[in-house]
Amino acid sequence: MTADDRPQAAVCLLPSAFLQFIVPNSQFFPTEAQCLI
Amino acid sequence: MDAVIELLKELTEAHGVPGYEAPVRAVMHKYLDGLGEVSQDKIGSIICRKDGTAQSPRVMLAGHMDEIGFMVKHITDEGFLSFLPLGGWFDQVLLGQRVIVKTSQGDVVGVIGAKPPHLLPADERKKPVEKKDMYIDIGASSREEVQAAGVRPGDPVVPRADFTILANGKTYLSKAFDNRVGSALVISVLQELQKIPHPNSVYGVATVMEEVGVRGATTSVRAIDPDVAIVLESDIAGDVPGIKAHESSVKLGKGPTIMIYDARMIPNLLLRDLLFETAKELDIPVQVSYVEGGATDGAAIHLHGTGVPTVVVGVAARHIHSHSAILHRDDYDNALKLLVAVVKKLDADTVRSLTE
Repeated sequence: MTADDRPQAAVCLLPSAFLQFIVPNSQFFPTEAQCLI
Repeated sequence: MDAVIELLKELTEAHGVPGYEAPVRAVMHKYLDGLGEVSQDKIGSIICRKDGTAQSPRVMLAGHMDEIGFMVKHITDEGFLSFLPLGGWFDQVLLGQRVIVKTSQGDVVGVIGAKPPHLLPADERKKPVEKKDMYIDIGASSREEVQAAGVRPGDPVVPRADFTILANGKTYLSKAFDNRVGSALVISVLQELQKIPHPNSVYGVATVMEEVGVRGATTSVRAIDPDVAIVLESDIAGDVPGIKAHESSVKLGKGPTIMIYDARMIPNLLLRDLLFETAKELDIPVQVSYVEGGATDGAAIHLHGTGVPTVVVGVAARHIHSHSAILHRDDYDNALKLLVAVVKKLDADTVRSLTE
């Protein structure tokens, strides 16, 4: 059971390639917590 | 050792944090191969299709196979590892716990470091330490030593804990009951269905990455396109000090749970009631549960396409999302009985009636 209780709509899942593009030196974006914009 | 104990031991001791479920998937393959047609979606969820006397309705039984863990984020000059959580950890269960870093050169044991109380001023002793301030110590003293051990950023980190049968013989202690108990039920149900006719096709699924946002359920439900779904989960037992009855009245050994509410799904009411009625007919004890601060694979499954009637059946465990959870064997056995009985009832007319 996930402790993530956020509705799906609030979670922004971006392709890692796009994240690399906007944050060029970042290598890892493994969790949604880091994808929240 | 009986077959269920062996299955739970093997599954819970396998290492499989979100995105790194391969060792668990191998165990699932070992048990599922031969029970049906086994396939995999493109992010790693494993699907076993077992046809009954009819091709439809398609019944999805989903139990996620990932467990909460970590990933190595950074190696300090002094040889310590900072980490990213993979899933919802409560900071207070982490300090002093052993972990295993899965490297390309093999397993490296470490511990989540804690400052000894001797060095803490009185006011600091009362403050919880946050994850972001914790580190993993593998006993090294430099970055070079860590790298020589094979550790790299991106390596998964799993809790280190063994499966143990507790004193009364009926309760089991282990990491990862959330949700290897659900994965185990997928296997047990499919094993039982080899012996009896069922008026549907059953798709037993061990999904990936539930703990970081029900990702494997999102893709596997598209691969199956089910007519009805039952999510198999570890639920939260409330029979420990500090949990009030209105927060959870669920007790170990008092039956599997039927979830009436979680933060991201309200079950199909007719399917929910079909479970309650079936339990009553067969004299199977069940418990009602509700979780305000969590969700399951049902979040993605019930919103697939134009909607899928979905319900969650749980086996309650104490201390989930830690290195050491406890569940009761009777709850597992009764969950299995209930699930098999309900699957047998899910013919085309019954499933159609769930959405009329």
